[in-house]
Amino acid sequence: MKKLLSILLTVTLLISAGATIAMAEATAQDPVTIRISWWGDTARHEKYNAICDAFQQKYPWITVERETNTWADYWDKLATLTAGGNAPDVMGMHPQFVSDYAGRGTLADLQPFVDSGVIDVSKIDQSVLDGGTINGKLSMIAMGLTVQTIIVNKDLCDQVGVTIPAMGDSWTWQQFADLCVEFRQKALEKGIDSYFSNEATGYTTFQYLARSNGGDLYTKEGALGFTQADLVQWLNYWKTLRAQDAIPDAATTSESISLTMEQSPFVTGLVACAFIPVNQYWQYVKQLPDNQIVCEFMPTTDDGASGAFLEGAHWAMSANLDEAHQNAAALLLNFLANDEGAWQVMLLDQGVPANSDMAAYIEPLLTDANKVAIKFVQMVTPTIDRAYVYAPKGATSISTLYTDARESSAFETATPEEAAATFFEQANAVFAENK
Amino acid sequence: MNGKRREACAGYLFMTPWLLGLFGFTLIPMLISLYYSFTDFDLLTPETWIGISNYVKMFADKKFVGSLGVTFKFVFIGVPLQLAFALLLAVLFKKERRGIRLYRAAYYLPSLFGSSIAVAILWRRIFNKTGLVNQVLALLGIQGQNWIASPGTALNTLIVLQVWQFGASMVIFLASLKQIPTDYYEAATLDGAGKLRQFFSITLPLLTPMVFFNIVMQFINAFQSFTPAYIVSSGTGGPLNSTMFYSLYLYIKGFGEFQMGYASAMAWVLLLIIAAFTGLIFGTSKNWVHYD
Amino acid sequence: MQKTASITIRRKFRVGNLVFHVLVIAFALFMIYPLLWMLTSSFKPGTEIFKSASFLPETWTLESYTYGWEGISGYSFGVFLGNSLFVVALVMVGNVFTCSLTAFAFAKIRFPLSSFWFAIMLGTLMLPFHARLIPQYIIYNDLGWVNTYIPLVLPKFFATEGFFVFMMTQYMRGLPREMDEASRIDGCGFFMHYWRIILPLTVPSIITTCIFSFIWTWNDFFSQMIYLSKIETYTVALALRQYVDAMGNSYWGALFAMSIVSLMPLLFIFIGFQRFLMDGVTMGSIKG
Repeated sequence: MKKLLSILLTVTLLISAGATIAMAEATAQDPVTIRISWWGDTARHEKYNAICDAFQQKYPWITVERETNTWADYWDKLATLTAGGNAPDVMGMHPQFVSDYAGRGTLADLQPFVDSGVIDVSKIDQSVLDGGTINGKLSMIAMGLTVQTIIVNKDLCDQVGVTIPAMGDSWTWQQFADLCVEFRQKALEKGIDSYFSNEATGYTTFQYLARSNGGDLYTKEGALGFTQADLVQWLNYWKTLRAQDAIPDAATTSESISLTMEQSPFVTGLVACAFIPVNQYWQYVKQLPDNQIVCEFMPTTDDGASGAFLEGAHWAMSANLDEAHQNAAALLLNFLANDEGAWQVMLLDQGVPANSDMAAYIEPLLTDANKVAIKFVQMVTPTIDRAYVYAPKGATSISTLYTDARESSAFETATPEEAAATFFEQANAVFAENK
Repeated sequence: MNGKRREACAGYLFMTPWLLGLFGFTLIPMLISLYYSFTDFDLLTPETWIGISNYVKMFADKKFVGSLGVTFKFVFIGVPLQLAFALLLAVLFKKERRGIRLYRAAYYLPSLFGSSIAVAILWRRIFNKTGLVNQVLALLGIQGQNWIASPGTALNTLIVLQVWQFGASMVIFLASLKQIPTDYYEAATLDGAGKLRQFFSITLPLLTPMVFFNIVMQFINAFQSFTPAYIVSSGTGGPLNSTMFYSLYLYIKGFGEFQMGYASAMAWVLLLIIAAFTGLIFGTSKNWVHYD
Repeated sequence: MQKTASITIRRKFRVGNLVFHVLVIAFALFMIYPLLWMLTSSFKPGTEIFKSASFLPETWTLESYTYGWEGISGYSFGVFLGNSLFVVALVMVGNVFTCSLTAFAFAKIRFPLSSFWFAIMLGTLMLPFHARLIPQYIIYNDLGWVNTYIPLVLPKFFATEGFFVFMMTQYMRGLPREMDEASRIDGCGFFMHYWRIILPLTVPSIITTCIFSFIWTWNDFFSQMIYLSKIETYTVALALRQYVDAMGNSYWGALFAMSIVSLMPLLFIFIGFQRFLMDGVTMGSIKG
């Protein structure tokens, strides 16, 4: 009996040893090469290069080919590559475009890899995962989370003689407007040709107003999520400020849209504040090393309703892969989301890590500016009452229409009411077509 | 083999590389895009045939019509100005004299740039609110506007850009000015013809093949202008769609809004427009282009 | 009598010369002001470029040049210059030979359908690039040519640049007809006629083709961006794009510095080839 047992044991051991060897072979399988692509500046290229090198060291049978481009080129190339059936295996993805890609079935469903344990999402908040879920499929994993902020040049404000809220104090759009008027008056008295703010041109900034009025840019069903009155209110808001010379003229605003950070009115001192995602805060701090720059909340409605929401860039996997590539790509996605080695390189470049452990892990490694940013995200997070609704297919056309509406109001070729009416008419036509 | 057949054979022999290129590289993508123009094609999923819907849609598209207007203005003002300027400077720089090579290089320099990002910055330095133009105007006591970002003037700054980069046409003129036998001028000088008359009676007629070439090519290229829009609006066509070139709108539709079927239809409409104008120029050319 | 006349003519000539030089230089300054600004900016520290209004740097520094020359991801800017030169050299050779062959056929040989093909050739120039891009990419991808220089170079060996075909055709048509007849009487074959007579006479337009091929290929970034993905294969145009990112930090100093560096080959080509362009072959001397 004992003998039998020992034999059994030996056999089991042998089998399991064999199995282990087989499994090791299964994981350390044949060499595989995967492609990853991202957008960004040259500093980010260096970071991802280091991360990919670290990944290759950990999984020596996987080679990672890297493709990088600046933001605009990235999307042109991704569209071309995808059309040619040559999409990268792992790719940077953004909420602005995700419906266009996921909605057309070009992104892999990541849920099977989560279920099999290759991609660990246990440290990622469910609301963040929901943010990567398009049409019920987990289509992307957050690279990093960020929120909108208004950065204010405190030194310029002191010089002009206006006071701004402390970081973390909420303020209303009305207070913001009053400050614009007061700032300009005092600035002119002191002979400083500066404004407090430029017109907020981004569709995402309008999203704050839409959300704090109870709506959003879109509904889940893929229609406009705000009312015509919301848009009129927004266009009127800036129109009134411009009429009072409390913000720069329409041409200056329009010019500023195509300027990079270094040339932006905020950095050159024409205005004292700028609307940015807070993960870029440190870059502005670097541009103005002699000034104190404060992160402010986005303004709220008069009754204090905030439109805040988490946003950020993501990673996705091509739907077009065989099993070996899928597995390697999933390992890379997991590494990017959860590996300390990756995050100690990445830090806050794409926002706060979605993995809460990693967020805690990198905090001591951060510069002061980035510590402020991470603290800001933590302060805003509790004020978020609901996740935002993803842009439906055809959303790119809508944001173009928004620009048209905004500019026709700013250059006074249409009243805010007319501009909003045109916008609604054309946007609804776009949705009808994409149904 | 008789002479005619021998000549035909030789013709096709010389044409072989081009014919191979045409059928191997150029024609197939063109025909595929023609096919796309009759489909609903979003780049990411297979296309579906929808007949002429894309073409019909175009006529109701206000932005499409606007982009045509912008492009026409750009072409019909920019190209003649640019060519006149190029011709003038080519004649001026024809004769070898001290420093002439440097001058030619200096005037050609702007054309070396294409429409790079650097040019965008430089153009802003000149034409924005605090730019060079307004600084000069301020000396005269005039307060200028933001030329590059106002809907009324943004396109004009791009026309200036087009003229500024006249170098390519100038070089082509220079090359063919050298083709004109010098004894023609010597004979004319002996006859007592002045410089101006020499220009109109000798230079211009003999230059017409190249004037013709420059007109046709600059028209074809200007109709397809794309990159200059990046200088003003980083490719959005703003402010207020005032720099929304035809090709830019096509690109936005195809790559930004994933409507490659529509974009392809636009491309073929543009081809027809350009072909019509080119045909017109060719039609008149018999009257004014002189081959020796 | 004759002597005084020639003196006044000479004096007039000198005054005219002076006026010419002054005007040309003044206008040249206006033409190249933007480039001068770029040159001086490339010697400014990165943070000064957009904040200071002054034309000359307050502090001179070479940091933009050293930073820019380091290149991207461990590949120095020299690598990108080398890649661009490689592509450009091949494109130049391809364009000159095949476009001149085709132009010769159009200009000097009578063959059936020649005006039909000529119209087709012009037609291929009229379809916007972005409409052709996707089908082209799909084909090149199927052939496995993506991520190589083949899509950028090989078509040029098949006279696909209609611009140059058209240009050389026009140039050859402008050549005096006596030359053709002379060679035909000599019993020259078509190829000898092309090689011995026409090619030497078209040197200026060949040089023009070289200059334009060089510059346009050097500056063209879109197809290079689509077809090249590995940093080690990047060209100058692609590398320069990496310095400016709308969403992140841009390195304007490095962009300006490396733009200046990459303008040097263009400028050398232009000044160097001008000699052939201008002194090449003048009809008068051949006739005389």
